[in-house]
Amino acid sequence: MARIGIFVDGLKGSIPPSFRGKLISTLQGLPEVVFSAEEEDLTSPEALQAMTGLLEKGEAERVVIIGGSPKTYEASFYKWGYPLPLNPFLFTIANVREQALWSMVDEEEAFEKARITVLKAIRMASFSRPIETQSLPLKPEVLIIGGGITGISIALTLARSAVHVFLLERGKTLGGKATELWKFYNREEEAKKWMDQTISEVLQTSSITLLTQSRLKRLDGHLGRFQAKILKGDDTEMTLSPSAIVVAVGYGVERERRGIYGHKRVISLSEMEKLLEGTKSPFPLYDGKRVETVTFLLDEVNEDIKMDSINAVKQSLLLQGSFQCQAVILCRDLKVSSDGMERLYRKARERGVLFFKYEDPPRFSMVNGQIQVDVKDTASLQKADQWPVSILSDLVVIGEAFLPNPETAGLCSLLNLHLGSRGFFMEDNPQLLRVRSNRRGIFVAGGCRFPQEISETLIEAKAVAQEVMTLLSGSIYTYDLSVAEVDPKKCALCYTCPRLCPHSAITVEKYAEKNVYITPGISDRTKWGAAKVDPVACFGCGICVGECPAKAITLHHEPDELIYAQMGFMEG
Amino acid sequence: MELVNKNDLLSGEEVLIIGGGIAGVTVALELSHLGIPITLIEKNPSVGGLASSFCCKASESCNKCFACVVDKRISEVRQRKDITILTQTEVVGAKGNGGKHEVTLKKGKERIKIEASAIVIAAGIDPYDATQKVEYGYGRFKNVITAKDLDEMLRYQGKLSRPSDGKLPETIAFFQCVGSRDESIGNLYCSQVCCAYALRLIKAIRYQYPGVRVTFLYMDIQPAGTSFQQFLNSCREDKGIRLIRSLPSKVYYSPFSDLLKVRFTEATRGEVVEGTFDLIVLSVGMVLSQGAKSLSQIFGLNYTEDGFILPPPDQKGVFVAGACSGPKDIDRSILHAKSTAFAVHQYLKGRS
Repeated sequence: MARIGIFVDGLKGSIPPSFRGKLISTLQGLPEVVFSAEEEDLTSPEALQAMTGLLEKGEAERVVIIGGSPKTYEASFYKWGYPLPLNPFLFTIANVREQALWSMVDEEEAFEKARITVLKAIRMASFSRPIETQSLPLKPEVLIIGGGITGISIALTLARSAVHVFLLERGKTLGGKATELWKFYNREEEAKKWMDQTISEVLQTSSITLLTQSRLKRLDGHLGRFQAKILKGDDTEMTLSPSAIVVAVGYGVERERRGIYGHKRVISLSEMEKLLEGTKSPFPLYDGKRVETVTFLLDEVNEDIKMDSINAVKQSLLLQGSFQCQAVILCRDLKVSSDGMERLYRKARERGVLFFKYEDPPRFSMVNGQIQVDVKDTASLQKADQWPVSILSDLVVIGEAFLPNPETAGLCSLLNLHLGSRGFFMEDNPQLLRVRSNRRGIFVAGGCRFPQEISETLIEAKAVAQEVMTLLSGSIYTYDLSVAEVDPKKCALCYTCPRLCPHSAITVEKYAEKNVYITPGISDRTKWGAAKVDPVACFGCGICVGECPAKAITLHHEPDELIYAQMGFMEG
Repeated sequence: MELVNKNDLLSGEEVLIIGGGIAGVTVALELSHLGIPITLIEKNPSVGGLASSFCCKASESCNKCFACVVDKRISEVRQRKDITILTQTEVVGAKGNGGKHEVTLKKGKERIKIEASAIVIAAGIDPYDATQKVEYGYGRFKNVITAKDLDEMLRYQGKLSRPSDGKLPETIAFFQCVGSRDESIGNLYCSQVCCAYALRLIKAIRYQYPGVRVTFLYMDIQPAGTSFQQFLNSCREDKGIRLIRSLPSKVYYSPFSDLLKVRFTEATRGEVVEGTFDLIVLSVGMVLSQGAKSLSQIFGLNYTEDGFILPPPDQKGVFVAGACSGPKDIDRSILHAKSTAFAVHQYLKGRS
């Protein structure tokens, strides 16, 4: 039986002295209680000093605090670094103020509720276990998968903070989709030049190890012990042990065109960008013919992505301004929710770009080598069933559907990450704050999570760098063992828990001395396989504990006995 | 250069964060994780800012409004002992540039002088003052409220009711872009959050009160993140929600029936229709907060074309985080604040 010391907190008068006295007197006969002390305000420095003194005598192995909510004490001393001579997990709080005094009207009832609350806390205290803090050295090494703009900017920011970066790129060159961009929508500077500068900066940075034409083959281990096997271009393998991994493999686009979109006078926004960049004469030429009218068709795909609207408005302004073309933009909703976009939209309208917002998709037909686009003008109030507006255009520009990078699914299973509903990496959980993945130490950034405009990507890149720096700060990761543990003897190797664990913290390893489900005598010398929880990767959510059919898993900080101790008082 | 060491890092370097909203709180938490001493000041009696008054907007499932994330971060910052929080405190003066900033704070009648190596301005935004749009009758008609009023009603009263008589409204109209995308009042920018915000509110209301019919009057629906498309489709499929591209010019009030009458164009029918509503909710846009305006004067900062604070070059030691640098939702404010925290950290390290 654990010896329990009791501290009664008056909470500056919230719990009246008479009530406290009565409560203490009911505890007199209990064999486990070794002492009880009263304080007017337990969180005051004097009280804490007195408490430390009492605990140093070593009479009590567990402590029950009778007072207010656990938050009150967590915030003031225990668990927050006040040097008490007892492990913080050996404190049990009986919240008499809120659960009895404040919730009961009748004084008799309040006292009875308080008595039960305290008895329950004493019972729970005898089952509480100390939890030690452990630490894991982390070296400043990060693996970034993907050499697009996201990967590059994270690599550069981290390299400036004295972190060594391994930048993995599948292709031969860096830059990814961003190299298709000629101009920014919101900056004068040419996107091409800026990209070239950024890439050459990467090449000159000594703390970035560039691995082109390489890919991840296998990943083992957890935070601090990651083992990443890389397959390089020359078919050699190398193993890295980064402290953190950033996945930034970007997105892909649908290149296959069906129906009218397969027509040679229908091009994509990125092809238009290239055409404009290459145009030296006063007007653009396409297929040897002068282009005079260009129609942009948006929102057939990528309806929730702002990039197409931004690029279309930007290109239409160039067409209208520098190349004497007539630009027409057809969209469902023009996405102006980026900084400066509304102004650009206004400018485009002033320059004469025509905007039509359609409900029903426009129709296309070929007329004398030009594409005729028929669109219903929803802004006009004429009651007419016909298609009132026909535009003869030399070129039709469409957005290409953004798809997950073909690598995504494979990487996802290699890294044990979660995919969202559309096949991009998941970020759906607001609590994971966008760039964090379901696994500790692995971050997901940029277009492989959600395609975005470059200025937003750059903000995201810095935010990822901040996350990584927070993790690596102090070169040590400290964690406590309030996690799940497996009793290997009870494990039947049913593989329920590794499948269910949302954080991939459970693996099966051969470490059990003995296993009840296997007939003894087969091979006594080998160790048996059993599930194993890595405390660094475990979030302590308790899903495996609830699901384990053999009850082989427990939460270290919340063993079954503790829960039963609480439940024992429920029946009355 | 050495990696950060929690214990001996940047001793004597202190960062002053102005504004205890979600952006300021996030910067404070991020920097204090790196062991940098922080003073966080807030002019209101408690930290939390605008986003802490938002209610959870879940319907059948979570709609990713991020309101719960705010609550969690606020309580985390309150518990941290290494962050000094001064509430009801304002900046009245600042001296110095680069090197050290000497900032004078006012807390009640008291004046406090504080030395800081870096300043982070996260003074946030104000919702657009809807009384300026006289034609919508906000402030004159009881049943014309702002989306923020509605949000607070749901959070603090826990129920939906019509201000004039406390009854459950049967028909509600949401007007989008009140104070945004409007050159007549000088706000030629999109507030970027109101579409998703209003639609989430509508969804939450429709879930709780399936009898309530809602009309959403808009210019262009602006997307918000990964799962927005699914969410928008579920709104489109909902028979109780009408999405109509048309902004009404005026609200007419009938004192006998307490009803509000609105004329708008219905493109699919190709005509002007008249609708009566029990409650009209104005989706007010964002404008730079008054506090942020006076701060930008004190620190000599410039404005962007849209009237938000233009972040000065990093060498100045003054940083801008969150929506006061341009409209942002909670999610993007947090992200922006994290990237600002990184910039601050880089700046401090570059100096020491």
